[in-house]
Amino acid sequence: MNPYTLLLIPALLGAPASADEILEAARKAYDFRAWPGKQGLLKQGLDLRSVDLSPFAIGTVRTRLSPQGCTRIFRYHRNDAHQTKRPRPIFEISLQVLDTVAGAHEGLLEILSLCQARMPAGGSLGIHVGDVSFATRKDGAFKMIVFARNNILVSVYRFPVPRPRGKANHADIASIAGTIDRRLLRVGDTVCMQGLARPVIRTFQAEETTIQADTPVLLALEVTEPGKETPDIFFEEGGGMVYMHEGRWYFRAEKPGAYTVTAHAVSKRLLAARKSTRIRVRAGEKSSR
Amino acid sequence: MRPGLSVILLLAFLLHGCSRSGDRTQIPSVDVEVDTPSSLQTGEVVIRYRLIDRRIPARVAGVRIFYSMDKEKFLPATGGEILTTTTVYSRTPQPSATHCFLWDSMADTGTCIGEVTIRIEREDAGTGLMFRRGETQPFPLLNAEPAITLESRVFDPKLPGADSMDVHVQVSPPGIDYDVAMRIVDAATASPVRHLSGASKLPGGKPEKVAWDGKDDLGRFVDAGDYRIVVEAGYEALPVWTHEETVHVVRLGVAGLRFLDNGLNGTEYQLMFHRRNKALYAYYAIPDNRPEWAIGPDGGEVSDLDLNTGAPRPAPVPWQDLNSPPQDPGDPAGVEDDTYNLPVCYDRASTPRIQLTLGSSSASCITPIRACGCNYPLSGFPIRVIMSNGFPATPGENENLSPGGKVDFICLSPLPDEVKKNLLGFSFTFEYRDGDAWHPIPGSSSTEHTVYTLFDRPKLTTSPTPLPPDLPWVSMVDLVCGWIDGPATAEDVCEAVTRNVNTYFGLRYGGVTNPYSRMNDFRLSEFIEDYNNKTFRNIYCLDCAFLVSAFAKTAGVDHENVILSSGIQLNYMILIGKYWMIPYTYFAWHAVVSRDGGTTLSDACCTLDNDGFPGSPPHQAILPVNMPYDYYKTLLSKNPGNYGISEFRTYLVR
Repeated sequence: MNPYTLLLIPALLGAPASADEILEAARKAYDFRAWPGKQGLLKQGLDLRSVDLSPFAIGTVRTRLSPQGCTRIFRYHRNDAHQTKRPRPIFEISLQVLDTVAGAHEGLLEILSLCQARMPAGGSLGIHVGDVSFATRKDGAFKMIVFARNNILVSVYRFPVPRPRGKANHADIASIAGTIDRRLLRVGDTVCMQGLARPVIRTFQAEETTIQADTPVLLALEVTEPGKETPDIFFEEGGGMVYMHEGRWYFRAEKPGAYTVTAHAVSKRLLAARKSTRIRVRAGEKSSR
Repeated sequence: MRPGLSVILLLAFLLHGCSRSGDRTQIPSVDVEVDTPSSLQTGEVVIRYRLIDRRIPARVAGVRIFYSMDKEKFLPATGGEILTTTTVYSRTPQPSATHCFLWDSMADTGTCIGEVTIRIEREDAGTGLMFRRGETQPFPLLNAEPAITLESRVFDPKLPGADSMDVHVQVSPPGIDYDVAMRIVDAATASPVRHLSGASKLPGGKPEKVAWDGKDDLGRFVDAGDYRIVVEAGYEALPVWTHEETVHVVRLGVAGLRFLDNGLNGTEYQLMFHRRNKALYAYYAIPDNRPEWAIGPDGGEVSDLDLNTGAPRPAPVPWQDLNSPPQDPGDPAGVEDDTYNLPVCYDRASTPRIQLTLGSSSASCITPIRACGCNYPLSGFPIRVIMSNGFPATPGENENLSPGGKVDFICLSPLPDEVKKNLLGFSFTFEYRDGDAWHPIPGSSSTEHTVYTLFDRPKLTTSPTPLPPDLPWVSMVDLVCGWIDGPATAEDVCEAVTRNVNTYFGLRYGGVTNPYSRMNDFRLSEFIEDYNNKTFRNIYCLDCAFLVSAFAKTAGVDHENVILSSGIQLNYMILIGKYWMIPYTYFAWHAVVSRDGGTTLSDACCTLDNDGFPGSPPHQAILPVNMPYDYYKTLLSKNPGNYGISEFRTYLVR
């Protein structure tokens, strides 16, 4: 498909005036109400590391935290690329496990709303993944595929291929999306949010809620995990610093103020829990150093 | 003889004769026999003599002793230790009472070389007693004295540039060669620590410079303390002449430099790194209550100025990683907070105020892992610090220093009135006062700093006390200062930022959606990560707008993201990283930036056609920078009247 393909696609959305209205316009333009799968069960997440996507291997992993959940971004390079000092990423998979099916659909809609031109439905391009999917093609290959399967939002993006371009360098992200979706279909499900095998943050609070500037305070963090695995812990530090020292978590801030610190416990299958605590920092003696 | 004088002498003789009638009848003579020293003499010379009085009974009387360097002019000789207080005459020469006079020749002649004659006379001469004075034969005398002139009485051999302290030695008098030896002695224990090499034979009167590097005979720096420099000069078999001076070995140095606000003359901006460790979104604000430059003991180390081996701690060079602070696995937060040199940021044309913290301890080279003091303040020798291009904020604050003390300096000249990355260097020298005069202490401490100057206070937040991630990011500041690198107006900042977002990163429009942006959320950390790894995803207009506004806000020029909507029917354009095309029939919406509430717009995403016919070839490229709103719309779209600004977008930077 040549670069002008999208030009032919009717791109005129409604007449939005703000972020909410742009989202609303996208809701209409993409016929959000008609999206299938809204009644689907909740999937128990997916550990993408367990999915064989040969001949590609995970290069880097990023974790994005947000109130809606945790997004993991996996960048893949070729299996043999580890011999290269800085392997070039071939494609990227972004995976987010949400608490609800509606949440996954809203997330997909937000992605679409940020497109300046309308993104074709996957089915129209022969992509049949997820409950609902959208895709674009470029240079004869799929450029990006986004889809929602139950409460799981997946985006597969192919990096531009440096010149000289060769077909062999293209990753077939349609096939990759299909592999992931098939795995998702095999993942167990549950009917309600409480049934998700999410980590549980039982305790997250500072030993003292008011501390002096530049003085560490112990953070009591108790996390239980339904499975045997140990969840990853991330923090939104709220402007201060959270760090582990001798196996325990501490918070420290230099400036006086009210800080909100949020702990995220994320399982390998990207099921996540979060809990916040507030710590007031008052002016202390300035460090002599 | 005149008649009057003859009469007086006659009367005197008669009077004397009346009081000493016995003498008048016998008038025996008294002889003096003086031994001439047989060898070269120096210092206290023993003069042996005998007085022979043949009268009965022998008398007791005093003598007077003179010396002469030329046998013509005799001067009273200064007695050294008096061996006999009363001179007893003897009647016979042999055996006879031999008397000694200890002549302090140095007191009389000073340094000299030559022949001297000693003369002995009866003290009560003039009584009419026949007294024959005695003299030595001229005998050789050498009185020499070494002298030491120190380059400095206070010395820190570990101070950079203080490779050695010069010791000037000279032996007087000239004319002969002396055997010279020098050594350093610990003043507290009197134990020798170093034998200084120099010329073993030193011609008299010729100055000799010997350098002491502050080390002992084993090549180790001596500990801070007081030391005596002892010089000995010898000649043949004579006793050596010695001289010594005390030198105070101190440990000086800068342990911290903290950049401060300077009131109306300069505002400092706190910077942050966008990564504290391996994880994204874990930020590190460079503390603004600590020095930006510091040296200090890490875990297990005993001194701030020195390593545990006693070697001086190297001065940290400016930290080059723009993404994260130096790491220290031993630190609870994982950040090196003992020895580091972090970047600094000021308003342009600011005059920085700098708080210097002196080092508080040294470490021994002799006994490893042993802390030593700094051996100051010194009684009678106050020390001051001088900053090469600054002056003390309070006059005199830099004097009478003590280890660990703090001194505020104001830079002599302001930073450039430019948006720029500056490399600022300071040199600190030390002086001690001896009496009314200040004397330099060899060596100096030098530091280098990365100092960014911004257009104005960063606008990433309206908070007066911003916290991460709303502080200016080092990586962003470095980029924008590199782009502008000179004087700039707000328009210039906008132009530089817009043009560089368009070209600098090699970004390409495309993909599907804005990979780094959500509507109110800009994933700047991920963008910079991709920039560092050269793995950008293709981007969209909202990414461009976020980038332009984030960079411009970082430089201190407020920009807002502006959403234009909807249904923008497009003209020809070069989308970022692309070529002339009409990319789509419509943009559903488009994000640009404005620094003036929408009066003008800048767009790093779309280069437009400015040839008057934007809807058709040929094309004249123009990147919209501070372009009037209406004009921009006519270039962007075929339907400029059908859409407008829908929103000024605020956002979070992460």
